[in-house]
Amino acid sequence: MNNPDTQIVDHPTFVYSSMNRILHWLRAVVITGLTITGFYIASPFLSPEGSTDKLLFAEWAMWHYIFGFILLTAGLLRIYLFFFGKDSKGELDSVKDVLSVRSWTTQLKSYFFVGELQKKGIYGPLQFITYVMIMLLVIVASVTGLVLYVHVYHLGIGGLLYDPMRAIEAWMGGLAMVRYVHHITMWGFLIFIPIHVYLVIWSAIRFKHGALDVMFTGYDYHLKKEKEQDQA
Amino acid sequence: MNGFDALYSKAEERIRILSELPSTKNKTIEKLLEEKGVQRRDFMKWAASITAMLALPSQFTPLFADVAKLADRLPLIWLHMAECTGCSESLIRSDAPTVDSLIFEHISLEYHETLMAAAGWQAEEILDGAMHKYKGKYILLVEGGVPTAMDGQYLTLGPQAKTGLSVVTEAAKDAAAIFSIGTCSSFGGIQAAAPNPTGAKGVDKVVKQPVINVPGCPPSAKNIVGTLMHFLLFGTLPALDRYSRPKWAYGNRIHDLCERRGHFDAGEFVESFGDEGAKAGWCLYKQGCKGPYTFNNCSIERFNQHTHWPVGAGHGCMGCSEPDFWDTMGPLEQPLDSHLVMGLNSTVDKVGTTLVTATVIGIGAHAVASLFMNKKEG
Repeated sequence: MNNPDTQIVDHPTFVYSSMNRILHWLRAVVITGLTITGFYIASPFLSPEGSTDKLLFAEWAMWHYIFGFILLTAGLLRIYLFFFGKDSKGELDSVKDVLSVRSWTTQLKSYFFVGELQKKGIYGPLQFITYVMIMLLVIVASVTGLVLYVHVYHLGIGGLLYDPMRAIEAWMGGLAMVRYVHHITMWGFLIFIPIHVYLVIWSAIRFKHGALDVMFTGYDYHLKKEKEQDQA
Repeated sequence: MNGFDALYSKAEERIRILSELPSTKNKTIEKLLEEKGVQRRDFMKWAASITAMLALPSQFTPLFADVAKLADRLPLIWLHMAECTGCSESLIRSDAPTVDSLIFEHISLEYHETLMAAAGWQAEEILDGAMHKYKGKYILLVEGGVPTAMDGQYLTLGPQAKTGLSVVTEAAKDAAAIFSIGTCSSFGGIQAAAPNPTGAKGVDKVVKQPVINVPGCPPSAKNIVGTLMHFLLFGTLPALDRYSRPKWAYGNRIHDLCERRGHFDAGEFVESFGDEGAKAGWCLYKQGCKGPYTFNNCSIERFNQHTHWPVGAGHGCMGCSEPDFWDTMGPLEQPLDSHLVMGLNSTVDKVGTTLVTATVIGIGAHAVASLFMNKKEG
């Protein structure tokens, strides 16, 4: 804590600002919600019993829109914070890892139990590329979602974005294609989530540092590092 | 001058110009209607319905009646490319003469392969003659996709074996307006479905001139006649969407105008054809209805003299007025998740489930390996 610059280069201590931590859990919650409601919209598995005044599908769809707009806003804010947040230096330093062949081999080897995980930024190169891809997935899901949304509600933001979204719709080859791509993005998240959760826990055990703490408190704890400092 | 007056005087001016052109028929539309047993009252009702359909104020009703009488001043050339003639059938096949079909009869139809008596060299001469005589004045209607592979030789027509590609590009040069009637001429249609061996394309992809698309398989008679009537009265192209479809017909989704929409929002779905939900007229979304992805006015204008339309009859929309619908909408009687992933005989959900399973197995293997590695090092 006394000398943050050198610590970030080696084993970062302060990692995420409170805003980024909140946004992370917000995304986690809304992506879960979007997946469940999205599966329902794709193939409605519940039906009400004999009364059309209960708008069951419309309510599921409503929650899908609400979660969708939260994801979109959270995504935009997160992209801004990636570049201009007070914690963005550690993240941006990971670009150096991506460009370094040594960092790639170090990370891949460490996943197969060979050696320590050393990196310049806070992410390993494969981890960084994965997160960038997930952010791109958020963008694709948000844009295709908006294209579908402007046909559902024609006032407010739906009306405002109608023309540009129809241009994207035509460019993608019609609403059926938009809907198809939107559906595929969900599977991207579904594949990412188990890998993400596993590697967080695994690397915490393997490399002996705080696992989930970093996303709650913002600080990463290092058992190993303290030991090294004691010895020195 | 406000917008209404401007439009109204534009239409009046158009009627004046048309009335000065020579008539091509020796019988007036009034006479024709009377002979076929259509009363003037029905004719005026028809004019009112066209006005309403094009979203114009009711003051335009007499103008449409007037301009319909002058329909014989407008020469029309109808070309058939790679198609099934279903679009022509949609317009002309009725249990009794309708005003729509009579207008079509009254209009100066110079060339239509299905309807004309001429064949061979004679037909060829009629087409050449019409294109020459009405240079720059005729409306070109095209039905069917245009094969472009092998210089368009997958489609040859007439005694000189001209390719469809050359016929349509030549006819387009001197046309006052070009309408693509049906999905084939608008977007290529079924012959353009993957792998599209003949290289079939929509007309707008092979000609340089602006084209109005009136897609549908087939489009309703009202959409064909409405597009024609709009051009007849104003002499200009209507407001078009991104796919050059008239907005008055293709501005809303089937889903937005659907009579079963309430059941969709309520979550009441037909689970299989013929079940209780089907009998009660519930939503066909789970039976593969493509209404949410399709822009058309079928529920309003309907088919077969306004009697019915697919969803009304108990079958989901198959998205026939959308580009590449054979590829993007299939399978037609199942929801879109049943769509096969390109090149794989599997759906997105099956591929996704397989990948997630593989991921979880991989994680498990790695976790087990970690246990042993830790022991070794520890």
